[in-house]
Amino acid sequence: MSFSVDFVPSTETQDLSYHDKINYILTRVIQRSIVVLETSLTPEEEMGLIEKTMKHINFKDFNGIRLVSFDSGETLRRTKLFGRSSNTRTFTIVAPNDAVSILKDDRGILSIKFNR
Amino acid sequence: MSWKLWLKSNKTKKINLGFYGEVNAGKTTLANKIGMDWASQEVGEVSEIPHETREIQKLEKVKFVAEGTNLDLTLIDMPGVATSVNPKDFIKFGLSPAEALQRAKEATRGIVEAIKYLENVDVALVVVDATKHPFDQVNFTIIGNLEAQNKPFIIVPNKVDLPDSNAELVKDAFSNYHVAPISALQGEGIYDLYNMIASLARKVR
Repeated sequence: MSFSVDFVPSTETQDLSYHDKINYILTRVIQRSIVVLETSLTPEEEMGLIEKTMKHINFKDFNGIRLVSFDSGETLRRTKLFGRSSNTRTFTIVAPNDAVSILKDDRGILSIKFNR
Repeated sequence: MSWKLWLKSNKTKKINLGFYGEVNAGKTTLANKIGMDWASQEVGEVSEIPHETREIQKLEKVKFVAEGTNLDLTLIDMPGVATSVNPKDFIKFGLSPAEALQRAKEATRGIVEAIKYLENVDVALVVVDATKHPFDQVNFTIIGNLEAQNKPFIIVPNKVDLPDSNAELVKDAFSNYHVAPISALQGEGIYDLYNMIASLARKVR
């Protein structure tokens, strides 16, 4: 099974409403795309995405998503100094659950392993 | 202290205490521990099979006292929040394909229910499995939403009795939050958690 990787600039999603943004992401992920968003999602958008994902799982070709946010080096440095904050991320990856394994270590390095 | 203040400070406050976190972090084990300690009742069944809790389970009228604070708790044990549900994960534990599919369907509904119920919680316990890497996105999503809704919460690294647990790593990852490492099974750290619950509950209007 093949997957595509969509790098989505912030201009593509910045004017979308909460619901449209979630639909935009989920539609692509269900169609076997790994979506890399230039912007971060708010916690409410992340929760909304999880909620909507649950309603779209069909237990055949879509079992859910992998969701991970990437911290910038500056954010990571501030995090180590002052503690982790949930709203200071830069970009976000949303992928079909069976497409990738995503590992993130405490140095902030994100490793994505593509499943065959 | 004036008698009015004394009366106010001893008034029993009703608090909805929600248990949130990833799947198999030990939410039900902790809810049962609190239920047994303060009401001699358990909240739900515990299992090694993921998504054992697929519906919100409540235990009401739990009379709780800590740090001189009297609380009338409703323990609300939530289904574990996850971004995916795969029936194959349940077949590994000996469930038939039909049972696994049914469990998976119920699990997805439970996750939606847990998310929707967040607004009804007064104080939340975010239970984290201390034997795992703490940087799970689900934890940050839950915490971010609690912050956005101004809900007081405590991060509870659980399973600190296990040799491969690392409560310090969890404390380090969440160093700007209230953190109370515990073993829900053995009771280690539980009184510090009770004091923290009392302290946060006092601030709830």
